[in-house]
Amino acid sequence: MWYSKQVTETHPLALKYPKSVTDISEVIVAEGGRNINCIERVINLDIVETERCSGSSADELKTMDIAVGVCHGALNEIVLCELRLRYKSAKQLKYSEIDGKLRHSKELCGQLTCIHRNFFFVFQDRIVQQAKAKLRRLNKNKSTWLAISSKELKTIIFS
Amino acid sequence: MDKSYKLQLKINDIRAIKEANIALDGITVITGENGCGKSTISHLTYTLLKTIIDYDEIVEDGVKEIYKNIYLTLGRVLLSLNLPDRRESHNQYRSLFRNYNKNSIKAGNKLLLGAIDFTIQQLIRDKSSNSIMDPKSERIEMMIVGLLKDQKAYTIGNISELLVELKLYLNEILINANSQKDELSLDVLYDVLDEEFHDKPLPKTFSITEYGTQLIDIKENIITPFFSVENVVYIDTPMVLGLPIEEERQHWSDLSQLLETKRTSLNKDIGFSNDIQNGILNGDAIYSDENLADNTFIYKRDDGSVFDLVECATGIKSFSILLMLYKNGLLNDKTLLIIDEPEAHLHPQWVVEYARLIVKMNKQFGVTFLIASHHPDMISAIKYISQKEKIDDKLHFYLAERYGKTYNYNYRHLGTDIEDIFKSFNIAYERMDQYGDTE
Repeated sequence: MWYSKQVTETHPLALKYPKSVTDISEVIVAEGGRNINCIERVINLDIVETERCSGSSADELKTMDIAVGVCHGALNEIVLCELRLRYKSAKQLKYSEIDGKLRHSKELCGQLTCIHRNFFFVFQDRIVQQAKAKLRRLNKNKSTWLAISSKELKTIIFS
Repeated sequence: MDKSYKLQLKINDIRAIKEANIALDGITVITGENGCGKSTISHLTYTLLKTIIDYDEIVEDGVKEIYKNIYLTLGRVLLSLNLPDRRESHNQYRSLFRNYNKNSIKAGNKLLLGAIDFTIQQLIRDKSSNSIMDPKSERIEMMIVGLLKDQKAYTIGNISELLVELKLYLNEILINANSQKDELSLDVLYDVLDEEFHDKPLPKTFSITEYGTQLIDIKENIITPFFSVENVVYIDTPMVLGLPIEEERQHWSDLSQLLETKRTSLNKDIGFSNDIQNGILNGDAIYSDENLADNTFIYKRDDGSVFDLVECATGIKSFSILLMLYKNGLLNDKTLLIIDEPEAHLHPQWVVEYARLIVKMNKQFGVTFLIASHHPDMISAIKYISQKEKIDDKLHFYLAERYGKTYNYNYRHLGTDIEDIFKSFNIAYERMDQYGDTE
């Protein structure tokens, strides 16, 4: 899997809500993390949701934080990531909240681009291992909810 | 200078442990893979503390064991004599001296000296017994020589002389015991360790300090008594509750005794009992000695049903042990409670309840804990509940880490940071992904 600027910037959400396309480092810093010195573009789903609902009566729904276009083999996919960099412990993770966010994010991203099978949750280094264990427990031991550090995010998706 | 903890145990090169420097001050949790020496730390800590706390009793028990042998052997000698009133003589012996082990070892010594004199008098009455020609004389002499310390040094020839030697030996035993009690000799501890760790001699590479002061001085061969701990309890499995105890597991029989013996200073606060009885067990656990022929641990459920605890679920036993320790006045600031894998046999919900009680016992009663655990929920529950209860300044996690490619482990102090413990636990998920379809 490798990052694709083209898949990201040509995604219908990026085209419809251009303000939502921003540098990954900016989002990470805004969410309480350290600058990872990465200027690759991602779709900020919080901005998408705010813009989608502005001027309408629709309620804003909770979503994952960012959507990133990647190439995975021959496929173009969207990777959904949640930034939990302000969390001080893994105990704050709730199944219903994560499940709801994933559902709304998938609906938002639509059917045109495949959603990557793994979902990434980014934590501070000092609680990543506890979060890994907690997410596995919450997801009935399936391996598709992955806790990673922001450094690992850079390695897995952007390098 | 190192921080001074209530107690601190240092171990080097004992079994799988390469180096461990464990603080016992608040709640200490040691973790690591199987075979890293966690149970050795628990067992060694228990044996060291228990021996030092019960030092006088252990010395006296050793003496009483010798007394018992002397009393029984003299009885056999009397029954071997050619006396017309042999039975009466033996009955008189029993009625005069049978209380040899009921009081102090000094009083026992006095009684047994009288028992030897009594035996000498009976020998005089049996004219044949001191004759070299009498084959039974040799047998009696061998019995008495068997009692003496250096058996090879005595030549068989005169029973009365041997009995005088026995009197001297008896006095020597008392003097040595009193001297051991005065000096607090490490030899007593070494003897206990040899019995407890009998597979091979335990290296003398351990030490224990109390607020920074060395309590075991190997160079000077002396022990200094503790003041911060008066009771030490070791629970390595709740399965032992109510079972007949094998003698080679001293800590099982010690635990059983603690559960059966009510103290005068019972805990009067019923809040903790209620917590376990109503919130967890839905009933009460008691030791019943109503029927002396059938003493037993009983679980009385709140619907009126009564069960022998031996037959109950192991989780019920785990909490029952805590409840009975509390009711017997053993949960206080002078107690060190050592528990190996408290999570064993517990439903995940009860793992968290058990962790909550550990924190509560520390916060409310000041009990010091040494816990060995493998369980992510036990580890995280102890951490986060302690944090909420604001006692995490006295929380110490340790992780056993393999030393190079050897099978030896160093114990790293993590403070309250459990991240590396979880890193080691998470290897299980990698294995699950490797062997199973988890996507």
